[in-house]
Amino acid sequence: MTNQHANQLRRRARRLTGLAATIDATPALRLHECAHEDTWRGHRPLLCENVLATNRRQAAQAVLELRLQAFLMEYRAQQLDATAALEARLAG
Amino acid sequence: MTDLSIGYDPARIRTLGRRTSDSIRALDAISSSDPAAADAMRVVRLIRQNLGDLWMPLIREIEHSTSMTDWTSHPLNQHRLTWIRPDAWLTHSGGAKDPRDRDLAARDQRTTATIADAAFRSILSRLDDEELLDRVAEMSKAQARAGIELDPGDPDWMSMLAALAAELDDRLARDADGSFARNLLEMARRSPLIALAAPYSPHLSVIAPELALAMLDVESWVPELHPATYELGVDAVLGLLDDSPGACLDLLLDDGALRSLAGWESLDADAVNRVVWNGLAVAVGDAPERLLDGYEVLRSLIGLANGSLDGGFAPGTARGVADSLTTYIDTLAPAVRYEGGAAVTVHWFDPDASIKLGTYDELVDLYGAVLRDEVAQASIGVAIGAYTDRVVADLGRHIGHHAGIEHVARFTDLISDAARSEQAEIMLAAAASHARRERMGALVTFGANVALGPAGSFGGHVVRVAARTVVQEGSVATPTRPREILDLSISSTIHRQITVAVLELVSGDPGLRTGEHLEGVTDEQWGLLREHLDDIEAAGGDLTERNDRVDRMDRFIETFIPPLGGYLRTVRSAPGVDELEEDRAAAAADDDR
Repeated sequence: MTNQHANQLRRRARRLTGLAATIDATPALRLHECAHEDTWRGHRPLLCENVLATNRRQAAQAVLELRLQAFLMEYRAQQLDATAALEARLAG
Repeated sequence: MTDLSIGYDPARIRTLGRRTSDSIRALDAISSSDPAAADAMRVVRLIRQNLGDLWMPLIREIEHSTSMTDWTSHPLNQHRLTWIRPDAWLTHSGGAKDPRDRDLAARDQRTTATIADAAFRSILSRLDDEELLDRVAEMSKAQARAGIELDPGDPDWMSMLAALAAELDDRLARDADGSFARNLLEMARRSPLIALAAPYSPHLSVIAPELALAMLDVESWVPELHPATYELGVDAVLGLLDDSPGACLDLLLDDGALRSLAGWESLDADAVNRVVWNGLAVAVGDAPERLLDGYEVLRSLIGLANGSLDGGFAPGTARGVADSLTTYIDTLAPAVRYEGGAAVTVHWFDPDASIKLGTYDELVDLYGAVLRDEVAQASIGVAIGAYTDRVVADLGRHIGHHAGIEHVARFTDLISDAARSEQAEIMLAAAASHARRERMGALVTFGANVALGPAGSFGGHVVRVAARTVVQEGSVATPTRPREILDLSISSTIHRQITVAVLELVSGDPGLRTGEHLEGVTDEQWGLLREHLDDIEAAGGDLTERNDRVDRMDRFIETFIPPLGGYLRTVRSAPGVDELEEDRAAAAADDDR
């Protein structure tokens, strides 16, 4: 037995999980593979690479937090379902 | 490609240009309106901005440039060599005095900067180690004398730092006996440029913990240096410690470094927060035998909170200590027994291991210094809320008979004593209530448990995320009456939370009722109790309404389910729980008047 709020939480959790996967797979996070010292050298390329490296760490953290939020929502949905099931048993 | 400090491969640049364009299009296609994704979308926008503002312009410039084909024949004449001398370069940053320099800079600053980069490096490479370090120190002093602030977005600065980093990196790579590294560390206090170059040099990054120690463990300020640049240097090396939690804990164990981190308000709060969190929580989670080291740091912080920093810690340290509470609360809370001058001595799984932290009052001052910061208030509130639920769940059928609840009560009382403002009390209460609503007691791991492995850090991370959510939501009620102020305290909130958690437990598991004189409670009465619990749940984040509904349930139980009222009294008879209720009793008395 599921309730509306639980279903809504699950939908949000799925969307957040999907967003996490999209960000994780976005090609920008793999640009460093074709931007190294065989491609370009100098202070500005180095600055670009370092800023992207910071962005990659930020993105990894964002993906982790999205998955964590999704996990919390899914967990909350399970709690709501368990509560609803208990209520049904008590009512029955 | 030859070993030049600047250069590019045209074919690879074309490929990079295509991939960067594709990346920007892919980033533009990412969207989400979910509030929980706000931070992630901000990161997506940051990456988009980086690629659009930094990468694409550079790639386009290179694609249309002939500078590399001109490079070998470029006239590095005396004029340009003069301009790129460090002193002259610094003068230029403040505005070139020679009209020829201004013209040159205005006409072709980027090309000049590129040449300056290579030529500056060439000058540095001709100096011996001692001369190089002297020159770097002189540059820092010259910068301070001229009052020039370092702007990380200024290509001139970046050019100079990149060249300096490359030179230092080369010398560290050849430094077989470590003598250059030692001299470099000694010089770091006198020249923040070394720390600022660290993110650009792999070999400097390796000695980032030593650099941080050298720059933080200072007895006195070097007057010739520019304070803001020195702070940027410290921020830069602290940012390199993210992957070294053990080194962060070592840094915190140094009294001088800890004093700087705890008291230096203008350092980057996020960078300091990560260092303190990594040291106190992640390092101890990775190596539980270092729990004693963690407590040594807390003891030093107690000394600071009762001494030079009695007005409060800098935000980064306050948040780091608060975020780390989940690692310590299961050993710290049982150590809090008596108030006033009574000693707080922590014991843990190793019977021979203990540490005397200080007195109750000194511990109150520690958390008082932490609780000045709003984010730290939320972290501690979430941790106590989650810990309360976890203790109740773990005690289960033994709840009225075994020790546990009194640890929650006494620690909550200590935190309540430490909260020096109504706003802090209310934030703590709101955060604890949030932890209850989100059922975080089941998610968060407490203590330094080697068997948990990475799960320990995950639990602490849950608290960090939840605390930031509480602050962002701004779900803190504004009390208008004295009763509300008292009712929104952390102690009364935890008292109610214990009540709700215990009732959730016995109402959800009939097996727990045996032997507790609850067999006489009818199914109908359990059903009515369930309705009250659901009613409380439905109050959501409205803490005042939630408290009213808990009190209503309490009165209902006393009147209509006496055996359950008796059971609750047994649970609440644990030492310290009564003290939590004092606020509620005072509030009720106010209402009666």
